[in-house]
Amino acid sequence: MVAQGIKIYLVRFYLILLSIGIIVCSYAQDTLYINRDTTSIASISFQKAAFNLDTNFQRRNAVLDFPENTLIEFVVANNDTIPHEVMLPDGSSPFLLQPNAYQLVQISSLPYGTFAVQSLTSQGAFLGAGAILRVGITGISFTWDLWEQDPTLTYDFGNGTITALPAVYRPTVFSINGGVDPMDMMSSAVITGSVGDTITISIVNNGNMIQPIHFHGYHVELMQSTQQPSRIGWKKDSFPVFVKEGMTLQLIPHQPGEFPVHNHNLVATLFNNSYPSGMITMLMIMP
Amino acid sequence: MKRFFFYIILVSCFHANGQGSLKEVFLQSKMDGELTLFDGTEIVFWGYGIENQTTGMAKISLPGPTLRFDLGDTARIQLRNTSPEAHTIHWHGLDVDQANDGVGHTSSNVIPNALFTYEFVCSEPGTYMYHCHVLTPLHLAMGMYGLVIVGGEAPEQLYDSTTKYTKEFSFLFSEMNLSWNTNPLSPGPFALYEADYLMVNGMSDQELEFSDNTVVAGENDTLAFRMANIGYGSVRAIFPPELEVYAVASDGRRIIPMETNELEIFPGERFDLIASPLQAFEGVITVDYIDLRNNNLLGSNDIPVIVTSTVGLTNETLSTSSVYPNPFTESVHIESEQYPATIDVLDNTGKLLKRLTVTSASEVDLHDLAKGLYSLRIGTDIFKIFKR
Repeated sequence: MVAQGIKIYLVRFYLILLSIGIIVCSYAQDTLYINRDTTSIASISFQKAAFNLDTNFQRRNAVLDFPENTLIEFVVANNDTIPHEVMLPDGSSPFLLQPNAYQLVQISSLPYGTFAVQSLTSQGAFLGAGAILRVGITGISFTWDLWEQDPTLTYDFGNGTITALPAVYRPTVFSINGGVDPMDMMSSAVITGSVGDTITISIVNNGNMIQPIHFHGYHVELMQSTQQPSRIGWKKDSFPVFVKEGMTLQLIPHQPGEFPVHNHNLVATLFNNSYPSGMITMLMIMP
Repeated sequence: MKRFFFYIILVSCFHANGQGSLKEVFLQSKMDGELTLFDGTEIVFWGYGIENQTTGMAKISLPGPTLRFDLGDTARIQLRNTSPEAHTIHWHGLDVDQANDGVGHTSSNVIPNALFTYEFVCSEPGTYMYHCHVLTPLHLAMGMYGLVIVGGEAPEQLYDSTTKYTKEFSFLFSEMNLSWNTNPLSPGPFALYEADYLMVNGMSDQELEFSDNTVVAGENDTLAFRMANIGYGSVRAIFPPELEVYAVASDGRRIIPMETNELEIFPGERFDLIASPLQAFEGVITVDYIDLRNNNLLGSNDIPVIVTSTVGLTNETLSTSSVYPNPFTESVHIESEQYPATIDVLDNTGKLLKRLTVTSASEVDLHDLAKGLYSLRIGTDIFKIFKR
């Protein structure tokens, strides 16, 4: 009887643990790891920082989706060798995260739109570390993580030699989602859809200069912006994305076709002196 | 204002299907432009010019000719490429279909000696631009750009009756990278682009003062400003306090009117504005040019503004004569209300250089003058003219 009682107790204990596990899994937060590494495109190498979903460095920053007006929770872990000061989009004070430390982040709620979790530390800010939070965005959606830098300067920022842009700043790497090839149709930057679709495009400028974007073929409506509230509702084909700005666009294609969309500060449409490249991608709209 | 009518050349026009007209424009793309800037610097430029249908010749200008259509028009633009390199025309902001988008990779390059016809319907009023989209960083910077204007629902309306005006002024802001425009075949790394010259309608610094880009109006006039930025950097237009200015549209789409005394226009953007003088005054619209790479102020241009107290009176109506183009290269066209008219050409110290008499509206050859600033005296009218 005693053995039977112990067995029942163990089964109950196991079920309780399982329930806790299920509950924990249900509410498991995503973890944003601050990674920094040397990377290269073609023969050009440079340092880049990013918030990734694991400890493996990728040039593109992670994207997290949340519903509107609910508690937003995630963990930020510092996988870098230096401390990072992390800024949240809710206006709260930045917090410092030591190497190998992590912190649970709770934001009571955010309105509809696109926001960023950014590193204010030079090695993060200038090297493009900014996770993208999409709130209340459903349906057909895409995200652009914009960044630019001078490859030589990335090493100076990386080793702490400099902590500000020089007076003469001549970036040569302009990227969307970590890529520079507009002809790569597998790129996550390429917008695909059909005539009449409601397509949402989230943009965060993790670069260090204003990026003026131009759409061929279509006007888009500015649905939300963290820095240009006076322009919300405007239908534009050309518009700036300010430094560290989060922005949400709506595109409802009226015609099919393949059209470029690119930075109209035309030095940004080059990589390694090759055109078209850099901050340029494609819209692929089916009938 | 004459400048705009002078540049707007619509060769053929007839009604089609009762919805606007079919308007045809014949352009050539060329790479043989030469220009002397206000400081004496000689440059070469590439661009577009209207093709003379009799001679088949075209002369390119910087910027290219302003193309104006009416709402609902079908625009048919024939581009003949008489240059040694491929070019296109991208209709910036007009949302044309892929075949007419003017991008070599997705549409068609117009190879040397080839002809390509673009066609689209002007379905939204507003201010647009056109430019070459082949190796765009270089071709655009070399001067291959211009303005497209689609008129409103009725004449002298930007859009509808809420945006009526009595005088219209268009300003296309751009830049020039001197090393490219002096040696375009060896441009060097494109990323090292520098905006050495800052332009309004292809002119900068003191050229603007002597050109016909001055905003001249009466205090009861309602002014329409069309502003477009094709440069690499942004521009900030700072309006004089005596002007009440509202931005009413951007990129060819209406916006809720927004009062502005300082408007930043980013690369590729266009704004349509309605301005009302609060009083008679003389001032300037200051245009700051900003390098987006580090927000450095590159320099400024001043667009003169003269608002007279006489209702609807402008210097064009005060004058009994007119002279254009200005600046000029070889000759100027002179019209006077009275003939014969005596024309004195004076240097900038007032010294009489030559005296001519014309008996009708005439093209006056001034090719023998050195480049620089001169005065033309026609009766009681005095015009400052600038030879490039």
